[in-house]
Amino acid sequence: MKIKYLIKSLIYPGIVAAVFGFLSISFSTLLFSNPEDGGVINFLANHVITGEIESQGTPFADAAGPVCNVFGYSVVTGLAITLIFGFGWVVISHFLNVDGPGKSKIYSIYWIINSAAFAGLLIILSLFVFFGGTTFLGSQFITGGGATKLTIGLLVFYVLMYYLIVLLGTARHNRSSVLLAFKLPGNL
Amino acid sequence: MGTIRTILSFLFLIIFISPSLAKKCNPPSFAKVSTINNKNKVSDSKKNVFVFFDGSQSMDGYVKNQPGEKNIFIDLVDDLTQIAEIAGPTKYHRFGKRITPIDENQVVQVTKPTFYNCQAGASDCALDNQETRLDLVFKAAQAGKDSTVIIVTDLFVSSKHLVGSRRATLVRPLKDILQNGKSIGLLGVMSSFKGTIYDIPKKDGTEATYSGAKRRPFYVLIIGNDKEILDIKNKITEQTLVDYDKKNYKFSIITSNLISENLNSQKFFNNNTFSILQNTDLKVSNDINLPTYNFSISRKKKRLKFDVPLSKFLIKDSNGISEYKIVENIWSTNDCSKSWSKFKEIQYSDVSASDENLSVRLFGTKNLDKLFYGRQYFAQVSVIANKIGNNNESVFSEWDVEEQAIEDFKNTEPVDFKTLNLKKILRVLNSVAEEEFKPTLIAALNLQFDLEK
Amino acid sequence: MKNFLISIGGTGAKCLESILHSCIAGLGPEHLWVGMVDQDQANGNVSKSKILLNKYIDLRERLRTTGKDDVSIESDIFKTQITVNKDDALWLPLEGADPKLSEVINYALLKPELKGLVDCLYDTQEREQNLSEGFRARPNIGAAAMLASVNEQDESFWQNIYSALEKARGGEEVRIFLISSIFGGTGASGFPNIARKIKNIQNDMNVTGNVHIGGALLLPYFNYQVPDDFNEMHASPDEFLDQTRGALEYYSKLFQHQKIFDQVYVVGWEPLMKLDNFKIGGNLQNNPPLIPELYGALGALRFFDEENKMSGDQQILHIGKGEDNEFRWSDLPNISSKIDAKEKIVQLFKFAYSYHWLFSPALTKRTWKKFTNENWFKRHLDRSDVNLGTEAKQALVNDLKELSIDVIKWLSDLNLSSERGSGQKFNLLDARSITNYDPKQFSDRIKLSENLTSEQKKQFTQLFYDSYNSSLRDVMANLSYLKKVKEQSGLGSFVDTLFRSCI
Repeated sequence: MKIKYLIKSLIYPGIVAAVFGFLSISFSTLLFSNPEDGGVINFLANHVITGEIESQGTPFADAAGPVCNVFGYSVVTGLAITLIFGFGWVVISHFLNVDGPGKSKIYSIYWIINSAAFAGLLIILSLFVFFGGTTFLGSQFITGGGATKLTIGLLVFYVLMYYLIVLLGTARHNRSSVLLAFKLPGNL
Repeated sequence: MGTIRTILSFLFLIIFISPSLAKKCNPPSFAKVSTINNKNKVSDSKKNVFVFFDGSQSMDGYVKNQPGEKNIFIDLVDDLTQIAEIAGPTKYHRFGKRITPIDENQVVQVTKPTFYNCQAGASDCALDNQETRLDLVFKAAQAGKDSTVIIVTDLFVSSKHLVGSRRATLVRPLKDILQNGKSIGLLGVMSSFKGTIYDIPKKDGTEATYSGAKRRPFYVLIIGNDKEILDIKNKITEQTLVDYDKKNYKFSIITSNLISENLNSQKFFNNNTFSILQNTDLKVSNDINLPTYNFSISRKKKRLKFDVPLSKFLIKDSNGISEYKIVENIWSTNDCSKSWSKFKEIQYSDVSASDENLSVRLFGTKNLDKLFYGRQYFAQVSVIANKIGNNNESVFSEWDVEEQAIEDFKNTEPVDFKTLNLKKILRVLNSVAEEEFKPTLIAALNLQFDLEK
Repeated sequence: MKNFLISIGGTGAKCLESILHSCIAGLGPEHLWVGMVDQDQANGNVSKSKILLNKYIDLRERLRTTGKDDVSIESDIFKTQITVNKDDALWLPLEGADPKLSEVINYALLKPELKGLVDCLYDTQEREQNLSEGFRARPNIGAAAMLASVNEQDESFWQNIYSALEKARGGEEVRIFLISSIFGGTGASGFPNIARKIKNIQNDMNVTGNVHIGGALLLPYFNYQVPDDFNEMHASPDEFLDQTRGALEYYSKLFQHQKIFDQVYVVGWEPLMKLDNFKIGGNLQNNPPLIPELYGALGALRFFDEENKMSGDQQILHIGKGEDNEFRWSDLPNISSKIDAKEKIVQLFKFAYSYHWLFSPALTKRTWKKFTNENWFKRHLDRSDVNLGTEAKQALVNDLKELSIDVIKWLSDLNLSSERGSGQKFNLLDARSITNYDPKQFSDRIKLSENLTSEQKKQFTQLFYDSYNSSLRDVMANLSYLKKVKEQSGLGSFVDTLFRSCI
């Protein structure tokens, strides 16, 4: 396996990772800075944080801070998971034994397994962090609906990132193993 | 640099994710609950005793013996005079349409049929032994604020005396009696009866009599403080009714001061009150007898509850409490340097009572799950008796017959004749007690705890 | 520079086979004219080489047609433009159905004293032998036949030589290379006589410079068992060594007295390789390719290489295998400092392997549509000038498959037959993992597996000994990643890129 092909394959996914990574890190930095107002806080207040804090007289900031922290953690961890699985697949795709025409399709099973593991891990992360887990102080302030929304948001963002990475980074000769990757131009 | 610090803080939080405010913050400021018993104390010292005997005609059936039946009335009246004398200087009266004092020598006559015959002029007698003016007796009892009043009567009161202005005349003195901290004990005793029961209302508006009864209950009303009432009652049951089948006598106290003493005064709360709390730091405020529990607890813990026997705070044989209330105020904070945040109107705790016990569950069925861990809480909880019950109605229900049913009852030629409108009378008494009743504190305590995950 | 190759006799034809395969691999010069000389036109080896020659020319033309299927001028595959005599690549010294020496020299019309001389030189059997199946290892017959052949200027074969020498006179460098065995019949007789003839023509035309003549002489390298009851005139292996000694003495004197050759490549082998097939000639004489022939071929290609500068002296170069009993790739010489013969031959074999077993089944009329989404297809075959449904494209696909089979069989046979015949270990490739070898099947010794199992495919990385072994995955990856050449068209992009992917 020529290393230069692998390095070549990393260019476009690298750009994707840079763009999405920049967004993730910026957002998580904002969250960790415990903002007091702004769109994020409004969203958390209206859709995520339980109304129970009001009946318990708990100051909003007492809940918002930990919720922002846990949200930030999930963003960073989600980014890490996506990079590992996305680039992991890109590397693996170069080592899979596509030794003739028609062989690449067989390895779609590997891609499906990789993708399912990736999505599963993201969902487990959400369950662990948002849905009533006790590892994070902020989890207790998040409603079921709010947790669902955060999970969906994370999934949409990182699944898109993952898909673009694998779409653009999969070894050319193994493209048939990735959904719709065959539609890419042959020289991309 | 700021970002790095934020990230490191976050990592610190991640590692030490179970923040515990080990240090107990100063409690929030709030209006303290008073645990002092506010019960109107009726003097325990010996006082005058007034005994009133119902002189209505139908009462003579109690004093006529009949074979095979125990005439407990005579025994009780005999014992009652002694018991009353022990309680204090006793004065006796006969009442019917009016109250007539009787001297000690005439008391013996109470157990004779002749007592119930009218001695005065025919027109006076026509009314005197044909009416039972309990209201006059109650008025007399009202007048004697520190005295004990004992009334012996068959309590056969027609409905017309229990409505409208007649009811009011009955109720007014009762109110005053109960307001002054007095209670009314009602001892009903089934006794032999050989006589005629008059004034049995018929459906057509007329009245009938019945002479077929062999047994019929009579009643001893004792108006005084709880202690006296129970004392007299106990003496009666120990002396007169000692061999008497318990089915044949019933007792109840009607009062607006059911709580004998709250749990705080009794120093009920200790380190073992809550079984799930180990090594609790129990502090008791000496001046107002208010315990404060300090502890740390996990959200997963089972119920924070305690049970207490009703007899600990409730007057025996009283009407009981039909409704308990919990008043709670909760504050929380996550930082001792910040002020406490008070919970809005919510009810976490609940209270329930069986026949024997009162169960108080702090934080209810959800327990501590509803609270956010990582914070310190201060809960001020008061358990209050909110409404009187009406146990006595069920106690005496088997001896009651309502006016609309008495004719049919009489037509069955019963051997044991019931008391007309007994339940109604009890309801009147109960309603007065209820009106005079004020929600009373049963127990109050504070909890200051760190809630862990 | 104009290059001319003349293969003489059966051995020459076998060397030509190796030369052609080497030219497919890109080891040859830019241009090469090829002529074959053999009296036995039905000879199996001659026919085989002729067929291969025609295939080469045909395929090269189809794969280097601008605008149609063009691998482009940059490509190494089929690099050499080979041309042949317009009538026939093969020149028979003696035409006719059953030529005999007696007829060639008009024996019947000779004067008695000349007849007597002829009788001293040739016995009756030799005079009356039917020469349509060659000279039966009788160079004396061959020489006489060559010299007595009709005026060469009328022969289109010789006209090519004349025009070559004209070009030399015009200033263009001309290199002519002859290749044959030093023993046997046609080769032994043809090699010196044709060389001398060319030299004479050169002198006659007053062409003094720009002409370089080279040759490869194969000393005896094989033998075979002649049945005891075989009485016909035949090439007897017992006589090869004697013939060789005599020839070497002749050449020694020739080189002393007349400079004909600029470079002579002498190839030998010890011990002689045993062949199972004894045939006197004709189409049944189909001997397997053997390593010394590849040596001869590489010698020829070296001669034609531009890096090979003629010193002006007569150079005799010889080659044989090393002392140990194992033959390796390192025992093969390079064409030049820039061209590694071993690399290119291995590359060609891998190309043939990949094409035959992996890609040609995916390019048939029934199957190609299934692969249109795969990257290798999209890159190279998803283009307007490639429609695999057409007859023309399918014919090209099939012809390339045939060629691939030829290459696989040639190198496999070369390795296995050389090993079997010499009893020495030939560690070039593990041919048995992909072929079935039956040396008794003279016409079809090598049978290829129909399909490869996954185990066999895994063996691809160990196919070649003493060589960097890429995997089929690497081939697929290269096919997807190697830069395409803009000028390529049609199937040319795929063919060239696949070839380049097989390094």
